[in-house]
Amino acid sequence: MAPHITASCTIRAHCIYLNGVLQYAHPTPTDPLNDFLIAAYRHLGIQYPKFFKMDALCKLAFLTAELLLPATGIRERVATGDIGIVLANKSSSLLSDLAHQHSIQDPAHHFPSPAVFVYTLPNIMLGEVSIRHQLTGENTLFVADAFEPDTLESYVALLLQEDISQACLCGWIEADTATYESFFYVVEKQESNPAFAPLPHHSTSINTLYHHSFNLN
Amino acid sequence: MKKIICAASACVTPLGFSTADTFRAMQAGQSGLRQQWFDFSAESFCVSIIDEAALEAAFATLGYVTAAYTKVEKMSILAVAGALGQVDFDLLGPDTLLVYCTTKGNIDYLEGGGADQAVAPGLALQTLARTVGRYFGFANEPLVVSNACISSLQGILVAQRLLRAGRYRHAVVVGADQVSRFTLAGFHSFNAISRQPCQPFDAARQGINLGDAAAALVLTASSAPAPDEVEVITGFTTNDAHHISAPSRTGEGLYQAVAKVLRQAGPGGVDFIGAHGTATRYNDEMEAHAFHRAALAEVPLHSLKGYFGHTLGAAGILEAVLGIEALRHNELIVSKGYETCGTSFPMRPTTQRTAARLRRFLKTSSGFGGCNAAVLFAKTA
Repeated sequence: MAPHITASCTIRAHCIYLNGVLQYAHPTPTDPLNDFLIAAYRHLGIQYPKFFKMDALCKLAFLTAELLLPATGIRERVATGDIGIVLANKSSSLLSDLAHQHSIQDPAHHFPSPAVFVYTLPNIMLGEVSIRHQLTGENTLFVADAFEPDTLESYVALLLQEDISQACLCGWIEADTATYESFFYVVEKQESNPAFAPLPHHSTSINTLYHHSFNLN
Repeated sequence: MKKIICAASACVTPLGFSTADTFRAMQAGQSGLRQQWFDFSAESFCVSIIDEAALEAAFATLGYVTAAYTKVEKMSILAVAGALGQVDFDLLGPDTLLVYCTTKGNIDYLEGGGADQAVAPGLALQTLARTVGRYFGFANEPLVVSNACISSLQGILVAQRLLRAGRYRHAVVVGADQVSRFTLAGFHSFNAISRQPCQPFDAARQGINLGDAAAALVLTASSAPAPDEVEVITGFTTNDAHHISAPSRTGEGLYQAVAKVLRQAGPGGVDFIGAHGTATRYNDEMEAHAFHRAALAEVPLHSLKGYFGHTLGAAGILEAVLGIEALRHNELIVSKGYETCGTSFPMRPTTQRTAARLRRFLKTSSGFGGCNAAVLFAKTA
């Protein structure tokens, strides 16, 4: 059976969509990203105190995976070491980079914090999601100018084809000083998720899913 | 079945601007680690810094250069130029992929202002990679990998997989990172920095040193390689799913990566291990535990951090390239800084330059975010 996409979750413009269905719309579109993310966490009734220590990029990744993964049931069906994570992003860990730089900018007021510094790597969000969902498989973070499905599709298809992974959490996630968005989807080699009509794992389907919430607005 | 061959390499380190020079200096016992003062601390730090004037002089030999390049760009370009210069086939066409690996790239750009400043475009890792790619004129856009301290070992693995699947014929993998106030202050805030030259796996180890490095490796798919070429056999990455900065106490993630490699590689053993060996108490303990669990406790092992410090995103490829050189020379590398066993599971760090028949080399890296990578290199039959 050809690999297929079994679910997707998008967060942008202070709205959260799971499989194209709105899950949360923040009442104040002008709120800062962090305020929106915390409000969404509370609205969704999530209990995970470590969430509050995360930087905005990790909070965004955490929430996206938090809605998406239970909707697929892959944790019950696929061995933890067989679930990979392949994400792409543009600005790396810019928000935490700026915060850490601010703490060391003036040598006379030099107060770097390990709690900030640890988030100055973009793959920390893969670590946070792995810890939360106990995913121990392949992890890769690509950096690119913009969302572009071909690289993700091509590399993930290869992981599944060669049995390096049986399922993969994939997507695009970005947060800089002005904008943000996340778009995650799950690709599985076997077994489909009956709650969602699976789509073939092709760049065109990934593109359609990515643009879906734009079309809703 | 296609084999993925390591066709050429180059290292840009304080010990030399080629793999051969760096390997020779390392085997003569030299280290790039020196004391240096930074403005935020009254005490000096031990770091491995590439001299800017020497770098500029080497860069000038590449020819007429119109654009201004940053230090990390010059290091990267010099590494790629060195590797490209050793092969007689074209690597700029559409059948070649440039894989650029780094953690912090041009992070020094942030020093220009406060948190609200406009962000310099060269800060973006993709822009840095494109700057390096455009210097040479690669037909394809570079693929950028940023996965903490496994970045460039993972870059080799990503390239090997894409080549094996026939997506490209060749790949040029480059890893680069530099010592910056940004990373030094950050690791210092973790109490992870040693003021003295680091001592991986030793009882007296006190933490890491940071270092500048770039390294490049040309991989090429070949159905009939000559004997004694070095091949990338297989590799895996894993996540500990344990803690974002503390290594797993049982080495579970690294063990899983190594176990997958050994299972897929089949019989043949491992002649030496190029460990991550950062010389922090927890990292080295974690690695020793993982290698014990994988039944590799008796295998000669080295960490190269005593020569170059921790070069972050460049560490995996730099250490892989020098391990490949050790395979070719049939000569084990001394694990500099090691004297007395300092892990609860004893390992066998190499203490003397030793000639040995070497055919298979396991390289591992681990990093923040709980990531681990293990890749096996071997001579072709």
